[in-house]
This record gives sequence, structure tokens and C-alpha cells, in this order.
Amino acid sequence: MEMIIANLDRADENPVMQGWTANEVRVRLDKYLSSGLQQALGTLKDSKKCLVHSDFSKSASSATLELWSRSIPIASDPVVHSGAISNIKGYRPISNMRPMLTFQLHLSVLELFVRRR
Amino acid sequence: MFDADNHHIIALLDFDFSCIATAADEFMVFSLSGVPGGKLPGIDSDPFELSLRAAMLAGFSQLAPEGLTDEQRAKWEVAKAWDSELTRSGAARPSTIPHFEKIADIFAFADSLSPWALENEAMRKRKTEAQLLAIREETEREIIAFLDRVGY
Repeated sequence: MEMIIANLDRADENPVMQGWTANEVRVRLDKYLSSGLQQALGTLKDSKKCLVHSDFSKSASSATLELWSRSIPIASDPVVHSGAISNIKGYRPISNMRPMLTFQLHLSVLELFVRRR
Repeated sequence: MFDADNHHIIALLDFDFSCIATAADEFMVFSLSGVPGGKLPGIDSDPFELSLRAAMLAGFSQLAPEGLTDEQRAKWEVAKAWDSELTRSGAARPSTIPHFEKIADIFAFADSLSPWALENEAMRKRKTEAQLLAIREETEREIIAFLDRVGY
């Protein structure tokens, strides 16, 4: 909801978007935001939180694509699914991570020792 | 993040957009948008992307569509391999995340309210007036299509 409000605020100030006021779109948007959206979000509230990596995009990991084009299943790299992982027990040890070194990712925090609950 | 008990790396922190969010986020933004099957294709994608979307949502229970080009077939295979690897590792997938399609649809809608290409001044400067208007029109069309779908 915050994201939607924030984006609409940006659209309001934007010379191209002009708050989507053209063609009555804004009127419909405001109606949806004041009722339908709340209802929709209500049913989605219980989403479990986890760690999301969020940026293995083309620009961040051209090496990923290179591996892909060589038909090596990138998915064998456990780190690639770090964020999607919801069950940490499924994780494999560090030795499997070696291919990641070629990804030239700046891992600024690697040895933060934690204890899981 | 390193698990001292099990000697496992369990997370990458402080990397760009890394954050605590929901598993769904990983399949909606640009986490793996450069890899087929990494990001759920939008509801108004081309027919091939739509079949990929359907397969991601159904956990690749269906066969690849007929008549694919070599490139499309390769994409399909990679997306399918990705999905099976996620299954094997016990990770969340679009087909196992509750309400994923709905979440992704609302997320795409939220994003369309202020797309980066129009929002960012530097991005705007790179485009001609006509290009900006075209993006504006396309975005408006997406917003209207969403509102139509949800009945508002």
C-alpha cells in the first residue's frame, strides 16, 4: 500500500504522468485504492518474511547468463536461490559456493556469525 | 550471514537490493529477471511469455507449447530446470507461494503507477517527447487493463 501511495505521489509531481488524471484514470484509481485494494491486500497479509537477494539481474551477473548459455544449470548454485529460500535447512555447504566467486559480486558481509532460533 | 552451528552460509547481506521481504518478491522484481523463469512474465506479455507464466504458476506440470523457436525452447528448458532446482532445494517457487499470481499482479500494478522510465529524470532526458508519450500511453493502458480486471 505504501508503495502504491508513494508511486502515485511521484506520478502527481511528474510532468509526463501528471497523476494519471487524463481519461478519468485517476478517478478509477482512487476508487480502487479506497476499497478494492484494501480488500485484496487483506487476504495477502499472512505472507511469511524471508531473505531476498533481489538483484541477480543481467547487469549484476553477466556470468550467470554466461553459464546459462553454456547450458550449465545455474540453479545448481545454492546462492542463486538464497532469497527464494524459505526453508534454510535445505541449504548446502560453502564448498558448493565456489562457482559464485566468478560472479564478481561484492559480498561485503560474509562472516557475520549468527545463531538461528 | 554464516550459520556457526552448521557451517553454512545462509544469506548474502548488504548486496544492493537485498532485504527482508517475502519469497514472492524474488520472482517479481529483477532478482533473476535476466534468466528465463526468474521473473513472472506480466499478464499482458506475448503468447510465449504467457505460456511461461502459466507454467511457472503451475510448477511446470504442462508440456512445452508446440511450435516454439529454438530460442524459445531454450528459454523454456532453462525456466523448467530452474523450477526443478528450486523444488529440489526446498525453496519457495511461484507455484508454491500462496496467492502468488495475485501478489504479482498487484505488484506490477503498483509499479506501473510510476515506472522508472518516466519517473527518473535522467531516464526521461534520454528519450524524445514522442517516446515519452508512447511510454505514457502504454503505461496508462496497463493501468486501465488492471482496473478493468479488478472491476473498478
